[in-house]
Amino acid sequence: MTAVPWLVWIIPLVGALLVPLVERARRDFCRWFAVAVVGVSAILCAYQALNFTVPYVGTLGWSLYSGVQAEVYVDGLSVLLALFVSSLSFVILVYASGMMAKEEGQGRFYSLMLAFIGSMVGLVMSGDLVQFYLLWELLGICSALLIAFWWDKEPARKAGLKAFLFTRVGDVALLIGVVLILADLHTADIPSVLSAFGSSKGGVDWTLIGALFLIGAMGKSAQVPLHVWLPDAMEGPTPVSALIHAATMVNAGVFLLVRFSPIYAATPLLSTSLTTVGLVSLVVGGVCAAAATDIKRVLAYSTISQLGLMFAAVGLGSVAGAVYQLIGQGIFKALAFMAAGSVAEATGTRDILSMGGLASKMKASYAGFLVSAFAMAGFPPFFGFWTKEVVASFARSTDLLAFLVILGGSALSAFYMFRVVTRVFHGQLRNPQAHEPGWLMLGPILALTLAATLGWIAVANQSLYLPALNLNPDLVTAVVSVCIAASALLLCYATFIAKPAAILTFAGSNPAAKAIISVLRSGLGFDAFYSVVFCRVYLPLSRLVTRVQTGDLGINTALLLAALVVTLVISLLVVA
Amino acid sequence: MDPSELQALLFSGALIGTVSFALFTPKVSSSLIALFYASVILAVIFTLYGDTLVGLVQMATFAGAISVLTLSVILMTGESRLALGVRKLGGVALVALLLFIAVVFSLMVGGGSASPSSYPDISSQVLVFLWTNRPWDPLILIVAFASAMVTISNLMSREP
Amino acid sequence: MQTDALVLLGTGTLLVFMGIASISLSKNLVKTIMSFQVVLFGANLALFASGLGTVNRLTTDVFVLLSLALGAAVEGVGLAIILAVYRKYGTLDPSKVRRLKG
Repeated sequence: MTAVPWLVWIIPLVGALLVPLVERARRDFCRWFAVAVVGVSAILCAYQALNFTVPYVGTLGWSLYSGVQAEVYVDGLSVLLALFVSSLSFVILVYASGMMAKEEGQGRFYSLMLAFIGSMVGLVMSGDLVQFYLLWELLGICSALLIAFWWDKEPARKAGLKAFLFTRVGDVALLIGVVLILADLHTADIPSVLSAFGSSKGGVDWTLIGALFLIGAMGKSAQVPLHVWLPDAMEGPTPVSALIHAATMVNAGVFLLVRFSPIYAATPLLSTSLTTVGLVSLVVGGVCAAAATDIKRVLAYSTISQLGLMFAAVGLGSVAGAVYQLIGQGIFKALAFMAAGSVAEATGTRDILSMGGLASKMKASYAGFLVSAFAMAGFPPFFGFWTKEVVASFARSTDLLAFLVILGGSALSAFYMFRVVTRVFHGQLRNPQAHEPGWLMLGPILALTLAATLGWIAVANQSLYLPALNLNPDLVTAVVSVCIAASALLLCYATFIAKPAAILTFAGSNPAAKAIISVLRSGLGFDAFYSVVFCRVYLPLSRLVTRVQTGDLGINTALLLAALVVTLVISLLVVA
Repeated sequence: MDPSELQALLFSGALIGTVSFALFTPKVSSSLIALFYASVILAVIFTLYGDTLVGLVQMATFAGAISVLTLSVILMTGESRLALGVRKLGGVALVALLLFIAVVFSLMVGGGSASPSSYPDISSQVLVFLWTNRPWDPLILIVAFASAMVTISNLMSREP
Repeated sequence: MQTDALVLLGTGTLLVFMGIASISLSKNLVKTIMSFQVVLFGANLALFASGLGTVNRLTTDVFVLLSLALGAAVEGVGLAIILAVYRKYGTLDPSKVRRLKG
């Protein structure tokens, strides 16, 4: 059935247009309609995945411009990721239908979520670069609008605008790359572009295009130095953070890199810079997460850090490792966000310093967050162990420095996750009014907990899409990383549970410690740097422009007349 | 001068005269009446050159609907004086008159160079007309420059 | 191109520029719309005149018809906007209607 690859992403997009009508009919049906639409899409993705045999490209037959067509490229990677995105979106939308049940603007929320899901699934299935770029832009718009969902709050509006601006930088680079490919090769068809790279025809500067795509991916996937939008994007609702900023949109950059991985594999300059960007983001995200106090900010920095690991994996050459890490990270991070959301709603605050001892009251959220923490730290038998092993053993065999940095990053990820676990769920009970959320929110948490625990069985038993997970990992790497994770766990236990007073007095009194912690909490100065750039450079320039565009109709028309005269001069006298 | 040229000159002169009166008079209502007459003259020009339909549509919309609409807007918002200023009015009128005489003179002296009617379709005819150099092109430019200079010099003396 | 077509073209151009100058200089919004109407007259006349000597004269006439109808529609909408501005601001002076000034 060749309509399925089209339907899986067109159905949510059409659903997004229909949600306002449903809202008019009956407001409470929006969420069930959205859940049903995504459910249909997920079922179609599963059908497509089960019936996948041979990669192929499907077109609709009409083309926008010569070389640009509407195409789907159905191969193992796209089928796998489409199934992942749609099923995770289904779970998160069920959670959202529980959490956002009493909000105003239901139609707007579900319409944007459906548009987002449709464009993400379409992005991974698309076979044409221009279609890919259009859906990439749609992702950015939906993300910015969803971050600013509570538009009457100024921090949310600013965060949405910030997200849009920083991903825009990447989008411009990506557009330049797409246009260069179209101009040189006269086709935007992804398989053709890849085979043109393989046969190195066409006179294209592949290094430049690889660099431009890298900048585009850095913008969308929040890598240093374009990462400052992701911690602020936590102003949006929790389902938005879970879906967009943990599991799907930020993975679009990694998907771009994985699709064009032959380019990065063949050019040492590109792979080195890719690995560097990834490792720097791994470390920066890790240390900022270790000091953050807002529970969602911790998870945001953690996302930056895990994406850095994926970038480094692609840069080192382990494409399968990057994809497995992508799937695993998506599951754990969404789980962590959902658990954090239920905790935040139960206690009324997002500050981990004012929470404590919730394990007795909120058992399911505790289980979910704990499983996510273990998975991200890399303990066997959770999914994270296997995915980390693939990347780390690959690194160990190629680049020792990268391997050491990756081990450091794993230590940091274990540390910050267990810090949150011990601070929020252990210790003294500080929020006695906390209670478990309803079944609509608990069900998805439990479902993802199960997926994180047992998911490796399903993924490891398929070798159709990607090379199968090696279930016999490199022993040295495995032992070393498990030891590091265990020591981080013990460190957290010792500092935060056994003797919490000691660490708190140390951090509060020692000036060096206070200085370091405040620097880390402000995001290592990136935000301050960007504010200075905007205030000193950009705002004076825009004030200069307002001298030309005054509000006076007469002056504007006179300038129009002047422009007309100049055009007439050029056309009548110069071009003769 | 052929009768056809004379006719063209006469009607164009009448059109420009009416429009100038419309633009320079201080009262909005007399400006409206002058524009009504201008649209009638333009419709007559269209009809005289063979296109009755366009002339009728022009008469019906501009001299009919739009004039009535504008009249109703003027009545609803209240009469007000335009305050163009007599000093500026005189200068602008003088410049416009001089330019008009110059244009007519150059048209009589100059004549057409590239004939676009040899091209098969209208768009290439328009393009050929635009992109070739004709002796009256500098005069069109002088008209444009003059109006631009007058406008901008008047605006520079306005308070922001 | 014959001379009478040239004369008409010349007056059309003159009208266009007079109209733009008048839009810029007017101190009353209704006069702005009237000067816009003058620009329309000039543009339609010029378009009509450019098709007078050619073989495909009917095509040009169709363009003139289209431009006429569209210009009339735009002017009608402009009048409606002027009414709304008058209701909101109480004045028809364009220099007082400057909320968009940065």
